Amino acid sequence: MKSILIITVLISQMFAQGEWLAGTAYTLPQGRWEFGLFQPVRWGQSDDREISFYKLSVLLMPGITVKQRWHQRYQWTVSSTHSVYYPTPLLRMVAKEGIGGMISPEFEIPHLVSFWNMVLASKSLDQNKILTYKAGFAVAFGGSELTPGSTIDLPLIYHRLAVYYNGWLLRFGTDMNGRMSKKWTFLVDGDLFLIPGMKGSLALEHKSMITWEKSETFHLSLGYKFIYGEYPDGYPNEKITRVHILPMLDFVWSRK
Amino acid sequence: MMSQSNHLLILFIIVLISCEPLVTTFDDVEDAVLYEAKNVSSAPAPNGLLNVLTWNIRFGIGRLPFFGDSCGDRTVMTEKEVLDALELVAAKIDEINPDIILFQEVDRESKRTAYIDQVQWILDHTDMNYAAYASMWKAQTIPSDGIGRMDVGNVVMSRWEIESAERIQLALRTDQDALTQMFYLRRNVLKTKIAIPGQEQFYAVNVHVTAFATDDTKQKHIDQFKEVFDEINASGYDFVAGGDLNSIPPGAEIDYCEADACTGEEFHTDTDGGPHKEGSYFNNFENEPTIMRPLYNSYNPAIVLEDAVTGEHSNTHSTSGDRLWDRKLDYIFTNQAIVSGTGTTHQDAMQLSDHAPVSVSIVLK
Repeated sequence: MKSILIITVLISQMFAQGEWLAGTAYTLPQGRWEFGLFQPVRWGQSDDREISFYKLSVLLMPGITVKQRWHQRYQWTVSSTHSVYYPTPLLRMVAKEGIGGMISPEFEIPHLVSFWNMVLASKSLDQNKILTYKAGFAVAFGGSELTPGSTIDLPLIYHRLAVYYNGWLLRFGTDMNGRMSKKWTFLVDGDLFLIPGMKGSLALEHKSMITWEKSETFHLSLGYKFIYGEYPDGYPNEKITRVHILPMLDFVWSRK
Repeated sequence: MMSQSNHLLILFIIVLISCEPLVTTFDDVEDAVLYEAKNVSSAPAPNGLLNVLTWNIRFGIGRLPFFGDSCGDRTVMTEKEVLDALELVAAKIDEINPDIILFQEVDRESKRTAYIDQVQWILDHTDMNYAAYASMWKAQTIPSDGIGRMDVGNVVMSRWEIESAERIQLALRTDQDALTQMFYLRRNVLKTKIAIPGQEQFYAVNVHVTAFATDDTKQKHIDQFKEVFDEINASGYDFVAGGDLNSIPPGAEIDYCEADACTGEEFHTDTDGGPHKEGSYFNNFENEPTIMRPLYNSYNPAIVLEDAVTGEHSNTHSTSGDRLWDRKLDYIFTNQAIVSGTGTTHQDAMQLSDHAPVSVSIVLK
């Protein structure tokens, strides 16, 4: 039972990492807090700075993200996000014998740390829509002793953990946020992960979600995520491709 | 009432709903996967004899200490380790020079064996030309012991084209909880029709019977296996059938619990004689010690029963590379005549797998 819970937490956290971050360059108003089931806790520290972290994994995979708004001109808003993660406790927890062992216990998990940096540029369009372009990179340290056999070859997880094996990766994306009515909004996005040098060096992810804003303090989001990903393979191939479609659901509470 | 673990199981499944299922299940009967060597070599018509080999190659890891079957502590082997072991397997195949091979435990795209498609690799590195593959354990991930992505199964290889290949599902174990069963092996019979020049209808049937069940699943597997070639035989066609039947010949020793015990394990401590080590005890249900008798009674074996029981040179398995073969689990049967004296257990392949290859020459009509 505990083992399955660990897996579920791991999966949900990997879903969460970078998935539920509000995908625009805008920051929360100063003093506003948002809490989601899967999305991170977000806090508007000031009108141009937002801090967020994942509450479920705060002990197993400590991490924090700072979003800084830099620029607002000609309908364009430019921000950057800077995140740091320390996944070692979580990976060590799942490197175990028996059920719940996602990584073989024969492998040592060293101390790992990654830094994710991204520039976001958002522009308001007609009809209550916001278009956002994103580009960034991640670097990781401590992974030189990781063996390829310790990867977790699952969608969302493999390409996010790849930074620890490869040392770096690139990420590009675009988001379209919009309002359909007073209570309903939507989000359509696409993300590209490039990990040159890895077996399985590409993932293309697309998400569509609709959100029901029941009130100013409670939102319900529903949608799906499509993942086209390359994963490691052996003779006679170097990689295999897989397509996954995953349901997504989240509840967000906020307060000021 | 649904248990809490079942709720969690459903949650996990929903979370991983995908175009490719998390765990692959199979129809009762479905087509096997067909392969062809990168360079198909010309295969001459047989001169009245057919050389057949059965071999459980232990997913091409030789005697490396895999956690699941040899008191080992490893789950994931390196590419070099697997390729080195496969080179030895290929060399042994070349030496035996079979026309048809019944393989068990062949990996493809499995994390534990560096994702190597061993079916294709063996085809490309031996004189065999065609193969049919039937998976017995296929999942995007096995969330236990770091096993990860898994695809392992039975293979029939042939010099000649395989006209048809069916994967026939065998009964699942009933001595496991639902979660374990979901991620556990789905064993099968692989029935192939081989286009041997000059032969009208010739079938090769392969099986890998349950090893660790403590219920009567093994009896069901042997019965289902036999039904397949009983039907072929009743139709008047020719067959060779075999594989890793995980059963001892009638009259052989039934208890290997102490011999197979890992450090710290104790068996036979209760007044009723238990507990027994799964896979090492051959008297879990009524008539298990004689489970092979109907096959010996009906068809011609590669190794006659007398030799199978008493001849140390006929043993095909040991759990450790440090110990000589100590039991016979691997068999070949046919409804054709056997060339006297050709049934061979290749016990010199001690470090190539935990099973010895068994070969025989069959007289074709």
